[in-house]
Amino acid sequence: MSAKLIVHLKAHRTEAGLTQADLAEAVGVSRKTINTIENGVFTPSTYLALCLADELEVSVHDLFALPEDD
Amino acid sequence: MSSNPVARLRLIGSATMVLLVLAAVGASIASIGPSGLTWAWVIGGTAIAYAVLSAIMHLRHPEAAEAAWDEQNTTAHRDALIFGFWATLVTFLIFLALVLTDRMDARMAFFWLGPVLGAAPSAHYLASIFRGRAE
Repeated sequence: MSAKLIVHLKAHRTEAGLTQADLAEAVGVSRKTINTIENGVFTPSTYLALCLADELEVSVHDLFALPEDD
Repeated sequence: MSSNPVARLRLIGSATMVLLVLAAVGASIASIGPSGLTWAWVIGGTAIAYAVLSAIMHLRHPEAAEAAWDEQNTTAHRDALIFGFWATLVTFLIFLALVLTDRMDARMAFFWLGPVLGAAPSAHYLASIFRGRAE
């Protein structure tokens, strides 16, 4: 269970024309948290993932994906 | 430094606690400055003042407080408390050995456990901030 998530948050955020600070404020977290999620350092909870997806009007699967099995 | 006032105060408060404890330990080892008991009171007083100031900031800036305590920062805080528990336990065992071998006064050992308990989590939290894993 230690596989890293593939994160597409940055692409969807920039497509929506939002800065990290804008998105952070919209979902009630710190800008650092958005930054570390985008960089794959921090894995968000299901609740936060749903909030991010809701704010960007995409599904959670658009934002996060499991790596392909080798 | 963070633009969030609550996170900024947390960073300054944590750094102050760690620096005070390091200064006190350094002064005690070098046998300069005030006594260990005086340092313990200075550190304890600073910790209480920080706690009061922090409570005021949380009340004055509720939205900033919510962002400052989001899930990543809460995780970093939990890890810091776990580290603080083990650091205090290890320090207690070291002090116990020193007291039992008459190398340390029991009263002094008791007073020093307080600052360690307060500063160890702060040191861990600062490390998380500098590693980019907390704000």
